[in-house]
Amino acid sequence: MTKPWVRAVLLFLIVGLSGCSTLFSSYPEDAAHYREALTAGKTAETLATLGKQQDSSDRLLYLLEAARIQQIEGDYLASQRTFDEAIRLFDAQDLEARIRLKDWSEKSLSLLTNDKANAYRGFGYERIFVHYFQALNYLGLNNSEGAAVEFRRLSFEQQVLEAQYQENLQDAYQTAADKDIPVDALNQEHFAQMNADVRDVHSSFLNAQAFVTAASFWEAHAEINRASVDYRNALAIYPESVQIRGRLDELGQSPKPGEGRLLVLFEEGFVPARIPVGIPLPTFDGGLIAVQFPVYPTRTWRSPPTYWIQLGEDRKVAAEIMTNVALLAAKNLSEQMPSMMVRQALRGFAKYELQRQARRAGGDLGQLLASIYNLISEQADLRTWLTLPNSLQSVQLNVAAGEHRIRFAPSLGTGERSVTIREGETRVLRVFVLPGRVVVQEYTM
Amino acid sequence: MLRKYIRSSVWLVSMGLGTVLLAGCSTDPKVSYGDARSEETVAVNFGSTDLQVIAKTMVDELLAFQPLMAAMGNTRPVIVVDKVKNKTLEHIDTESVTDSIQSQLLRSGHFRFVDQSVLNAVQAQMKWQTDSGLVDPAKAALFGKQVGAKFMLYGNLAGIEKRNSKTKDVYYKFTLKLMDLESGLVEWIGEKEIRKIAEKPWFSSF
Repeated sequence: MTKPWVRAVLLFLIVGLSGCSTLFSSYPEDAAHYREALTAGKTAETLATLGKQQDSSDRLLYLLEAARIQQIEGDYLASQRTFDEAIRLFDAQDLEARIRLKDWSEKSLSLLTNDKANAYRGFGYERIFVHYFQALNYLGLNNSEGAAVEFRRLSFEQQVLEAQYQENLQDAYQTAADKDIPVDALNQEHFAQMNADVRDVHSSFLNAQAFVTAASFWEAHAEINRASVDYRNALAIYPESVQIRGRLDELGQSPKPGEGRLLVLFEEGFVPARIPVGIPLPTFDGGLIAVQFPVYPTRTWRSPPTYWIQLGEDRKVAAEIMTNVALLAAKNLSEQMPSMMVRQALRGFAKYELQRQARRAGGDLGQLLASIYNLISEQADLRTWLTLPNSLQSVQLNVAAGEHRIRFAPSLGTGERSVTIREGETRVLRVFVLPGRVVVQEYTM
Repeated sequence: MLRKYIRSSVWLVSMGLGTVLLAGCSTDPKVSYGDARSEETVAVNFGSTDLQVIAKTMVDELLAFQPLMAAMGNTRPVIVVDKVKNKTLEHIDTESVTDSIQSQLLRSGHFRFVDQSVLNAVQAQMKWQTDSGLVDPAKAALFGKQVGAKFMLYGNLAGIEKRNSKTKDVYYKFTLKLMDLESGLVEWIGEKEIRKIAEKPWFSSF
C-alpha cells in the first residue's frame, strides 16, 4: 500500500511536470529563436512573446532579452522603458528581506526539481550591462543627463559588486565545508578546463568597454576627473591597452581646435550558451547519483575576430577587444560553482532519498516512477542573458571636424559610411556585428 | 533527517500554492486620497518629501538672508531660473524642485520671474498677435518690451550612495545659487542635505 505522503509527493511532481514547463525546458533553445529573429531583423513576434512573460518568475531575464532586442532595432524609448523595469527588479533585490516566504517555496520546489525553479535573479556582469546599455539608450534619445545618471550607476554598481565579491565567495565555501561537500575536488575533477581558461580573466563583472565609453562621455562633457577615474578603471582591467593609455596621456588636451572625436563601439556576435554536463556525486550510503551542472565548453572557443576602421583612403585604426563577454560569463559560472555544488548535492540527496522511499512504499512501480521523474527533472540551469554580444571592441580617435568616409574591416557589407563630426564633439558609431546582419547606430555624446 | 526535510518541503510547497491561490482571489487595488505633505517613506529613493523639504528650506533661507533682502528693498527684482543639474545616481526631475521654489518665492511677494522654458511658445504667440491680422494692433503685445532678469537662480543636486548586503544609505546635497547677472556676483547660496537609510527587513511574506 502506498503511503499517503509518497502519494502527495508524486502527485505534486506530476502537477509540476504538466504545469511548470519552464522547469523542464531548455532556455538556450528558446533564446535561439530570439537570436534568429534578430539576425533576420524580424523581431515583432519575438517581442510580443517576451512581452507575455510578465508573470513569469524569469521575468527579469525576459525583460533583459526584450530590451536588448528593442535597442538593436533602434527603438530606444521602448528599450529604455524595458531596461528601467529590469533595473527596478535588480534594485528591489538589494533591499529584499533576508528571509522570504517565496524563497522558501521556490527553494523547496527546486530541491525536488532543479535550479530553474528559483526565480531568475541575473548576474553581476548582466547588471553592469543593463546600466551600460541604458546609458546608450539615453544617448540615442539625445538625453545626456539621463546618460550621465546611468554612467554614474555603472561605476557605482561595479564598486558595490567588487566590495561584495569576496564576501559571497567565502560564504559559498563555508556552506560547502559545513555540509561536507568536496567543492575543490569536484571543481578539479570536472571543471578544471573551464577554471583554467578563466584563471587570467581579471573579473567576472568588471567591463572595460563600459568604463571606456563612460570615460569618453565624461571627457566630452569636460568632467576630466571622472573621465580619468573611469579610464584608470578600464586600464586596471586591461593593462595592455594602447588606446586607454593614449587617452589617459591626452586627457584634457584634446580634441584640439578644429577637431572632434570619433568613438567606434563594436558588439560582435552572441555570447555562448551554457551546456549541461552530468556528474556523478557520491551519496551518504555509498551509492552514486547523477546530477546535471551547467558548463561552458571554453576549450572549443576561438578568440573573437577583431575589427578595424578605415578613414578616407589611408588612415587605418585597429579596434581593441575591451571586453570578452564569453570569458566574463565563464568566469562568473566558475565563481558560482561552489554554491551551485552545494545546491546540487542537496538536491541529489533529496531525489535519491525520494527514490528509496518510493521503492519502499510503492514497490517497483513507485521506484520506476521516481526514477523517471528524477531523470526528467534533473536539468542544469542554463539560464543567462543570451542576446548579449560575444565581445566588445572599440576604437577612439581624434579627427578633423567635417565629413568623413568610414569603412569597417574586415568588410562587414556596410560599404562606405559618411559621418559628420563637429568641432569639439564626440560622435559615437555603434556597430552590431550579428551573424549575417550588421546594424550601425550613431549617437552624440 | 532528509525524509523529514522532504516532507516539510511538500507542506511548504502546498502553503506556497495556497498563498498564490489566495492572491489570485484578491479584488482591485484600494485607492484613497492622502495628505500631499505627509512624510513619504515608501522607498529610499528621492521622493516627494525630499522635494518639499528642499524647496521649503531654500525659500526660507533666501527670504531670511538680510543683506540681500535689505538691498532689494521693495524693488521685487526679476529672476530667471536656470536648470538644476542632476548629479545623482537617480533619474530625478529637478525641474519640479525649482518649480516649487519658484512658486513659493513668487507668492512671498519679494520676487518676480521670467520663464525661459516657454520662450519659443511666447515668441510664436507674439508673432501671431502681430502678423495674423486677427488682433487689434493697439492691444497686441509688442516685441522688445519684456523685462530682463536681474538675477539668475541655478545649482545642482549631488548624491552619494553606499550599499552593502544589509543597508542602503543615500545622501543628497542640494545647492542653489543666486547670481547678479550684471555684476557676476553670487549674492546668496543655499544648501540642504538629506540622508536616508534603508535596512533589509528580516522577513517578508512575498
